[in-house]
Amino acid sequence: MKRKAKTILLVDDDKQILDSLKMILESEGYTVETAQSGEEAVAKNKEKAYDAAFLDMRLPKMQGTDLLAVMHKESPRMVKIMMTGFPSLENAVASLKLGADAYIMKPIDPEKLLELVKNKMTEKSES
Amino acid sequence: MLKKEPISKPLSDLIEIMQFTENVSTKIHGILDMDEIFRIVIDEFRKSKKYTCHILLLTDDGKSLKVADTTVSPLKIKAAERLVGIKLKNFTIQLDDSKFFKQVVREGKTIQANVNDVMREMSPQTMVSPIIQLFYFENAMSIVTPLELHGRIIGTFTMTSTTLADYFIPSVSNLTRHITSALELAEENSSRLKTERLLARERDLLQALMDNIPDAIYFKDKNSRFIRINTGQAKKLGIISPEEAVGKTDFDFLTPEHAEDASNDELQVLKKNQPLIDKVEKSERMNGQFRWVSTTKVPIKDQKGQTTGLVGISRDITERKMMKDELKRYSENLEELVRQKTEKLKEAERLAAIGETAAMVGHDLANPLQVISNQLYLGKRMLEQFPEECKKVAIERGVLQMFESVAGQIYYMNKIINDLRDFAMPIKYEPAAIDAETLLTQTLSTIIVPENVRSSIEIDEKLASTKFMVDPNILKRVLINLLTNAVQAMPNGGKLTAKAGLEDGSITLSVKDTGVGIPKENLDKIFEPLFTTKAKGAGLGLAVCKRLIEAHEGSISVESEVGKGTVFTMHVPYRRATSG
Repeated sequence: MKRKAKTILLVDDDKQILDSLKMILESEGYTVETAQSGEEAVAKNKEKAYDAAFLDMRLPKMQGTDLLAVMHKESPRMVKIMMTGFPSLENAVASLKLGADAYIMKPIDPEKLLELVKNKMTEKSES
Repeated sequence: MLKKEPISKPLSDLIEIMQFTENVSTKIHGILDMDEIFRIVIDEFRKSKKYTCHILLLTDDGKSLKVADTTVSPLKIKAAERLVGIKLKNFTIQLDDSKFFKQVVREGKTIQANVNDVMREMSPQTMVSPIIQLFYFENAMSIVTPLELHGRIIGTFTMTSTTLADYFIPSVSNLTRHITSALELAEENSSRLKTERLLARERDLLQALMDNIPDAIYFKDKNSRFIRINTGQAKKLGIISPEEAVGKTDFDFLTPEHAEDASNDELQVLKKNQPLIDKVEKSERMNGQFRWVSTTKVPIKDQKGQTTGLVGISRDITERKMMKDELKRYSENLEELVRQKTEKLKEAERLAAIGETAAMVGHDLANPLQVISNQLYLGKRMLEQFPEECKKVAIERGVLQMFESVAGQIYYMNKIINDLRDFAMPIKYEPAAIDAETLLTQTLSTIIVPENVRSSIEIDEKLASTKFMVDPNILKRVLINLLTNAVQAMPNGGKLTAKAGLEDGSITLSVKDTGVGIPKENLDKIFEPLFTTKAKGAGLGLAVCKRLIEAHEGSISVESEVGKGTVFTMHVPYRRATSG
């Protein structure tokens, strides 16, 4: 039985990050869509259900944690991975409380990132 | 042999008056009070019942005479006063209006006249006849002679008697001369008494001053020996009675240093006649007690202007000086405190600014680095998907080394970002029980030690298999940093030693290398942020270590010698773990 490709939404205001990550994820067979702002991400999430989302902590206008809260409310079963260039304990704790499945620090080795998203999606589907 | 003949009347009178005046002269001799002299003269005349006299003295303006004393009975004086309407003490004889008195006073003549003629001159013009009636003497004669004092006529002496004749004049004159000499003696005596009284008064005042002033006062002779001191100085010298000091010097009471110093000052005062004013000195007694004094010393000169000694006065300013010193110390301390606080604030501001910058840079570098990582990953994937031939060529040309080099640089840049994060982030102290061996072994295992470096762990017996409470994460991070530095310091190999010990209630952890060493001039700066001597490095590593160790209530220090090696030592509080 051929499984339907998993869908991932990438949210970051840095286009280079979005483009390169999209290519990496697509090379692993994922269907990837991107959003450069929190609003765009919310809109896309309403149109379609994603299996996972990578959310940058710092976004224009909207804080990553706020976006996370919205996304978690809308799609509780979606895997949500927070990314940040400047981690803090407060943010990490807040993210996990708001429903994040992982909290990663940039730069992360792409191989580790792929492993992480795969594991998290497996965990979610099994639960 | 002379024939004895009966003595004639005038001769016997003369002899009598000579004996009388001689007697009066003897009586007043040695009497040292003017009024007393006059009183004795008058008394003697009254006793004679034969002679009367008046003593008149010139008024201050020298124009008239006044009755100083008289043999006239008080009753008769009262009667005359009533008659004339003037009190005797207010009655004056104007010299210009008189004949006899004028001659006596102005010309110094001794005159002989009828008593009534003399009385006439002694009475107010309108009252001449009643006065003469009152004092009437029949056939009485008066001799009026000048009364002198130091060759200056000060009045007249009038002697009256019925037996008086001109050949009595020498006797009367002789008496007045005796009166004069008695008066002169009395005057001299009174001025001497006056001087003595003045001196006594001055002595009393000086004594009162010396006894009551809290300052120390002393008089010294030419050889700096005490002549006289007051109670204040006695107290300063540590003796009870001021007399004890007489004849002694400062060397008998004070420390040789202070006595020597004072002696030198006094030599200046005595030899050069220069006063010493308000010299602040420490007056130290032989028993070690001391007071701060302000001293003034001035030379004392005799009438010829020769210096005969000196007088000194010392004021105790110990309290004042101590307060002043205290104030000075206090203000200096305050300045130092302000300086330290300002420095700390400045340092805190600087660190905060560096922290902010670190956060910003860390964040801004994270994204590009992520992109580079992603591209590298994609590049590797792309190479894998190349046709075998192309792949072979690419590998032959060193593409894998290129990828590896980029990966290495990414790793290194990532470390800088992590350092920046460490530096900017608040540190939380989370203690856990661990033993020294575990701590050092685990840490050493996380770093890559090149083959040419021999590493070893040394643990003090006192710490062996003892668990203590520290934050292992903090200590590991610091140790990793120090071990990495140590390895980098030995590019040609060497010996790396990680040591743990117990010292004065602190755990000491040290990392020693036999590497290149740190130049002396850099040792102070290596813990400052942004200080680096490495080609690659933000200079945050050791600053982070210091921050971490300080958050652990510890300290970190360094010793190094160029060419021999470096040892970093940390001290953290030793708290024995209660369980295990």
